[in-house]
Amino acid sequence: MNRRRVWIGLGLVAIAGAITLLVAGGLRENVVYFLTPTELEAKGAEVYGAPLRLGGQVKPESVDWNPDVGRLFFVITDGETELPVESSGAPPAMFSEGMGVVVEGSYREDGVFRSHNVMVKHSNEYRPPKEGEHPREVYRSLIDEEAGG
Amino acid sequence: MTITDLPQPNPGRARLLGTATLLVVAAGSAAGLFLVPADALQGEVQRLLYVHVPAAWLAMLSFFVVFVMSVLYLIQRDPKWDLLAVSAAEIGIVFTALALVLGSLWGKPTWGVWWTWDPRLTTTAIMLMIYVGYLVVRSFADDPEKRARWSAIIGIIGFVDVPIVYLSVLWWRTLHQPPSSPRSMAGEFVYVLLLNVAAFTLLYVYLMLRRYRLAVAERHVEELRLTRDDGRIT
Amino acid sequence: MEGQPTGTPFMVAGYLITWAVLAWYVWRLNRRSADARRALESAPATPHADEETESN
Repeated sequence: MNRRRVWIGLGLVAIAGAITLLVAGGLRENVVYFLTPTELEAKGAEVYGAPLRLGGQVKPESVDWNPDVGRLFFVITDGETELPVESSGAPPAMFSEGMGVVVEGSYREDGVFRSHNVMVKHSNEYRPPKEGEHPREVYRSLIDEEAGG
Repeated sequence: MTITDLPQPNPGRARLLGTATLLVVAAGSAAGLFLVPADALQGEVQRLLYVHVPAAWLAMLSFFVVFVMSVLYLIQRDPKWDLLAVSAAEIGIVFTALALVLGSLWGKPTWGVWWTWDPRLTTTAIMLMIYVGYLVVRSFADDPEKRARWSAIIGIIGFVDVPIVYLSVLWWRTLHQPPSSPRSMAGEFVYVLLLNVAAFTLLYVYLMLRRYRLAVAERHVEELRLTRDDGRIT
Repeated sequence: MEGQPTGTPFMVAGYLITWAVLAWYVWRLNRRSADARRALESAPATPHADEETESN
């Protein structure tokens, strides 16, 4: 009787393990939270107008923020392909050149990605400010720089 | 193995542990808030790391305990494993919810959104649903033995999602950053995080002691009610 | 981009919520434990005695 229970227990653990492998194996290929610019360009016309997410880095010196009309332009890059992004509304405070971003919106026929939501993807690196650097000021200057540029 | 054999933790010892836990958790929060400077890039909001990560750690630890206790229950059919499993499940739910709320508060000023359906957040929400379901199933079962058996099965199969939550940021593209490591963090930040992880782990031991003692007491109350009802029927 | 939130209020809210949740959970454990103790004390016999009279 006790041995049977051990087998039931082991059987359930084996089933759980098998499900993990199946789910992970299946999802691993299919779960795509965002496309890279290269992948999006390869899809081209077949995804025009479809709602999707695009992820990459903000190309340095490509940011053009117009606070009067609330329009933001920048170029998103994965190091291989560059795509222009147009967004309405202010980006998050941490948005800056060279930063990772994920934008939600759709790819249009004119080759511009129209976004309604810009999200900043920050890294897992944390460090105290260097001498003379004050964290909150860094935070602010980041915002001011963008506002200026 | 009847429920009268269930071991009862010592209440006096629990009170001492409770005081120690309170002090260590307070020290951890104080260190996170005042001892270390805020992150150079994110500023003050990064201090949430010192509570968000320990909360997520406790959630996963709890569900691992549910898994182990569920396996032990199915093998030995000792009600003590079932009561330890339900205790761990409830504590795990509290800390999963806390990790989600803290993550949301951290996400809004940094990512720019409270929530997004990225693989880490989605699998964590599924994890919460699985263990809430675990408690719901328990509340429906009148027979303690059947309840223990069914919830043990959920506790084993449901654990499937837990490693997936952890690995999601490594397997898939996410908005959530991958796990921090001593290599990705300044040394002083690592020490404060480790202090908070240790403090929360101590808190987990305390809460498990308290919750298990409660589970045993409630099981005795239920047994009283069941025998009383049996008497009425026959 | 003025008026963007700096993180401080979010951070403070996070710590307050953490402490509130922990306090609430311990309070709930205390209350439920007291309820269970009362139910056991008001029972006509101790659960041990009950169990034995049942099985004998």
